[in-house]
Amino acid sequence: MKTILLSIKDSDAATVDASTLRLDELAKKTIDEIARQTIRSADGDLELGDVFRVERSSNDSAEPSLIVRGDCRAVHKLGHQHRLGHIRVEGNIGDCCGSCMTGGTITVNGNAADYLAAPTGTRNVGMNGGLLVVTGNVGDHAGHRMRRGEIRINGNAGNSIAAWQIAGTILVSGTVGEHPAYGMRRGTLVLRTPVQLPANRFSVPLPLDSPFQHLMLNRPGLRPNLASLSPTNARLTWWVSRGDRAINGIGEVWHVRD
Amino acid sequence: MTDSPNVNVTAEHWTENATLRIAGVPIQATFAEAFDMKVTRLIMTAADRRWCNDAAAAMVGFGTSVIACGVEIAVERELTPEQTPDGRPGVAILAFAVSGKELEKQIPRRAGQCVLTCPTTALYAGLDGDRSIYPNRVPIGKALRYFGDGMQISKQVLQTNADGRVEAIRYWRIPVMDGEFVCQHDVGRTEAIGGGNFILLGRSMPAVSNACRAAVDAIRQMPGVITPFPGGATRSGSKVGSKYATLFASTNEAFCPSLRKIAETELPDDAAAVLEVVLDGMSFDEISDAMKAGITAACESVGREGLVGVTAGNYGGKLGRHHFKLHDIMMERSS
Repeated sequence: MKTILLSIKDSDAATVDASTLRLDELAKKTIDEIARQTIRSADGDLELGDVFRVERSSNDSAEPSLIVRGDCRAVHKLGHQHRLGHIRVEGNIGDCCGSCMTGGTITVNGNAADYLAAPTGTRNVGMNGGLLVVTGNVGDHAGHRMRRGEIRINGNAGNSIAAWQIAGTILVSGTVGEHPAYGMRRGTLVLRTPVQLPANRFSVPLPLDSPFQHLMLNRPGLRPNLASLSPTNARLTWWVSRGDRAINGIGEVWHVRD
Repeated sequence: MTDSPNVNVTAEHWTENATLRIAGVPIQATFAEAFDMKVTRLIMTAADRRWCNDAAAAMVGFGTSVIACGVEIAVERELTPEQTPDGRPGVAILAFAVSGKELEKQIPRRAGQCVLTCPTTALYAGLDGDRSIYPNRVPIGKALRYFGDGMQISKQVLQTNADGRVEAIRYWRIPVMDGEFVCQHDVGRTEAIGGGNFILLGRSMPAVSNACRAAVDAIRQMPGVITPFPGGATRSGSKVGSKYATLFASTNEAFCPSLRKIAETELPDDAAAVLEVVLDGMSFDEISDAMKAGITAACESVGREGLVGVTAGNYGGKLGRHHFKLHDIMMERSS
């Protein structure tokens, strides 16, 4: 299957909306057609080749891959409605990465800006499947209105992570900002660091002891700092709070105490 | 009782002229006849081995024969914590049924009454693969989740396979009084074979018991095979049909020592007690390997002094399409 490599030419270029790039559709195109793909920017419509150097190769995988290289902080909505194949960003990425994705995987080997995997436009559902991994930090509103799938953040997260979460799983190795899981209905937010949740919205933390902890945290794909959450790690005590009770939510926030 | 005469002609009996012997025990040149079945494998775990064994005993109870039990089900092997999905002691259970529909009916019932009820247990699929590999599924959590009365939690856990493909496995977490019962949404089922067998003709009950136990111990080490009867063997080998219209199986008088003088018999004069080891397996090869291991262990454990011979049960080849020829199995298959 094809691997498409996009290397950003000028990281200081104008803001780019990459929501028109769909990996499953790009994989069917020739390299020239990919370079002529229209993307929107603050300066008007551009061709993909104006912003990125486009290369293509083949790999043994059954699914297509897209590799984006360079500092792409000005590239927003990459992986919008992504459903098949693997997107890997070698560098930072802008807002709304993985917005409304329904399948496949996105890996950001760097930091991601705000609204990671959040809905865009008038949509009321954010991430709806697949796996999104960020090795660095993420901005505010990550996992907003997430409904299905999994987000792994190996660094820190900003404010309002998992806000209005409907279902799905978010794991954070670092710290989180204010208002975590605000308006959470269901789903799971796993936090490596202790967190103080408002008593009027979340239940008093109770010890968590379930075989499901092992299923969730002992997977080989988790980064070492997430894998250290293993329930076999006797140093850690697990707690769970349920909420957001302000909206009769029964989501859960797992957090640990060393 | 039957009016058929005793037709056993000792001088020409196969035990005297057998061309194949294991540890001096004659092996009849016959075959075991087996049938197509459906199978699934379950992994059950618990906080400790004792709870796990208790739940397993309940789960596989009353699961000897599809004639009346619905499924033939038994523990395939014990699993160490390193071999189970949640890192706790466990067992692998194989369940066989004559139809997928029956399997889909029996497994949720047993899981609900025998596993969900047992403290600390969890239940997982033992056949790895999603719908693309096993399109036919047996419900587990799909059926049991309603016990949670709306407070159950569904979780999809993403696993990255060796080929890099991300697979989503769906679990249910049902709140119960000791915490939560975790089980997988469903498990695949596939084709299998049931009814492989061999019959041990003993010179005495203690001798054939020892031979039988040696056989079952050897088979227990084999993957993909179970011996669902008590202790792995049955004394009530059956034939098809009965003089009573309501029964479709009845005692096989040809192998009953007490009827030797009044009914047509397959037994040589020295055979005083007969036990049958019945095997269900996931494939022809796995059953064949298990039969060879079992027969070899039985013969070597008591020898010619304990066993008169080894034969197998069949219906003339008309009912089951899988024929396990004893001589082929014992001579051609590698140990």
